[in-house]
Order: sequence, then structure tokens, then C-alpha cells
Amino acid sequence: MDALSGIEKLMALDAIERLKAQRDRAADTKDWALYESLHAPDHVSENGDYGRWTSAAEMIANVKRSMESLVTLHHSHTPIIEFETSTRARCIWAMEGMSFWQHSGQERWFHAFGHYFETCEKRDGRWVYTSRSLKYYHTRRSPGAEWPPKIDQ
Amino acid sequence: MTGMSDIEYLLALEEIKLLKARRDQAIDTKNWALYRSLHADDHISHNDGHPRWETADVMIESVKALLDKGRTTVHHSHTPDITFESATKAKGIWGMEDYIFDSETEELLIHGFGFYHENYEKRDGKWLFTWRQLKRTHVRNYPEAASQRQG
Repeated sequence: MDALSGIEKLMALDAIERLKAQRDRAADTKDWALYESLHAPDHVSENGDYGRWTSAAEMIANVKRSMESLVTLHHSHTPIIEFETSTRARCIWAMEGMSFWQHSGQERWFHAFGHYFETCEKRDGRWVYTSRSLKYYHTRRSPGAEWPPKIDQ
Repeated sequence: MTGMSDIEYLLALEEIKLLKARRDQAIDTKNWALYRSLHADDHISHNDGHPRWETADVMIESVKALLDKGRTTVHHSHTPDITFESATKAKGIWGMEDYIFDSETEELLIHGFGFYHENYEKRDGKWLFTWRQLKRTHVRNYPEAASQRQG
């Protein structure tokens, strides 16, 4: 493998951790232009609730639709980042997610704990996501909540 | 660019992360001397639901009045996105979650989420907060009250 020096590794770790910060913020502030810009065009997503998407464009269309009427919280913790090469890495992040929505005039919520499994690559000098899968190991929901939710229009 | 070497950048980043860790620790342990020491005299705070606090002294009096007596707080900050304008000036955005409890009854009053937008400056060799705005994405009032539990 083309080895990273100590400093290069720390700089790459910082860039990859910021990528995550921007992704979580883009999701929760519904900044879809920022969200899409963090992903390679050939990005692949797998999410138990919604299935598999094989391009960034497909992902953004689906994420927009599923999150538009939700208030969301995505918090990511304690990354495990391993470099396969100087321009390719695998990442695991512990995560907590919450979603809130209105159903029949009442607040409903969904609360999940799990891990993000991601890959990212440095392309044209910039780290971008190339794949993400989210696996929950525990979920909770408010009484009567359906997930994914039916939303009041 | 910022004129910083990679190692200078990484060290400054660590100092700003420490500044944030100490601020969250100071507010939740009500260590107001520590809290004050992390902020420049001309620090400005601008939080949703409150007037602008134009100095660090006004901020500290206002925060004390809100939280010092009768409130137990939890402030957790996550995944910073920090950018440097120069070797002595930076901006940061942090994901946040907070809980505010009534210390007497232990009732959960507020469970909130949002993003801290902050400015930092290195003055006399020490990084300090110079500006902070909390932008909320969601606030749950009395989320564990009996009327909510029925929901």
C-alpha cells in the first residue's frame, strides 16, 4: 500500500471526520445540495428501512422524500477509520438517531441506535463517500408510531 | 490560505476542541469562573429565544440567572466542522443535544437539538470564544409529562 506518513494520516482522518460532521448536519438541516456534494456520483447506500440505492442521485431523491416531513437528529460518535490505501478508507461510526413527526395532530417519534458502515475515497484531492450502510441494533418508538411513518399532509 | 503548516493546523484544531469540551463541562458543572475564562471580553452570544448578549460579562450573568439555581443541565456537542480563516481565527459548527431538568422535582423540562455556530480567536497565545449562536432544529418541552405519554 502507498503508505501515509503520520501527519498525512492525521490530516486524512480530520478530513474524513469533517465529512461525517457535514453529512449529519446536511441531513438535519435538510441542506440537500451540501448532502449530495459529499458523495461520489457512484455512491451506494443500503438502509434496512428503505432498501438499496446505487447512485448519489437516486439516494438524494429518496432521502429528500423520506426526510422532508420529519424533524431528524443524527449524532455520530467514536469513529473507527482504517485506510486501505492513501486514498481509500473504511469507517464505522456509532450512531444515535431520532425522528419526529405529526400524526393526527400528535407528536410521534422513532429513536434508533446503531452503526454506520461507510467507505470513502479521495477523488480530485477531496474525500467523498462511496458507500454507506446503516445497521440498527436497537430501536424504540412512541406508542402507536409506524416506521417508516405515514405523515399528515 | 491560513499560512499554517499541517502540524500547526492539527494542534490548533485540538485546542479548539478542548475549548469546546471545557465550555460544555463548565456549563454543566456550573463552574462559572472556568466558563468566563474561555470567552473573550467582547464575546457575543446570540441564542434562539434570547436577546443578544454583547459581552462575556453580560453572557455570564444571563446564563447564571437562567441555569445556576434549580436547573440541572446536559450539553453534548458532536462532530465539529472547523475552518480556519487565519492562524489565529477560526469558525466552527457543532451538532448539539441538551437536556434541562428541574433540580428539585427532577422533571425533564426541555430536550433540545440543534447546531452551535461559533467563532474563535487566538489572543495572547490562547484560543477563546468570540461569538456563538445556537440554532435549534427541535425543542421538546416536557417530553415526559403525563399528557405526552398518552401520545
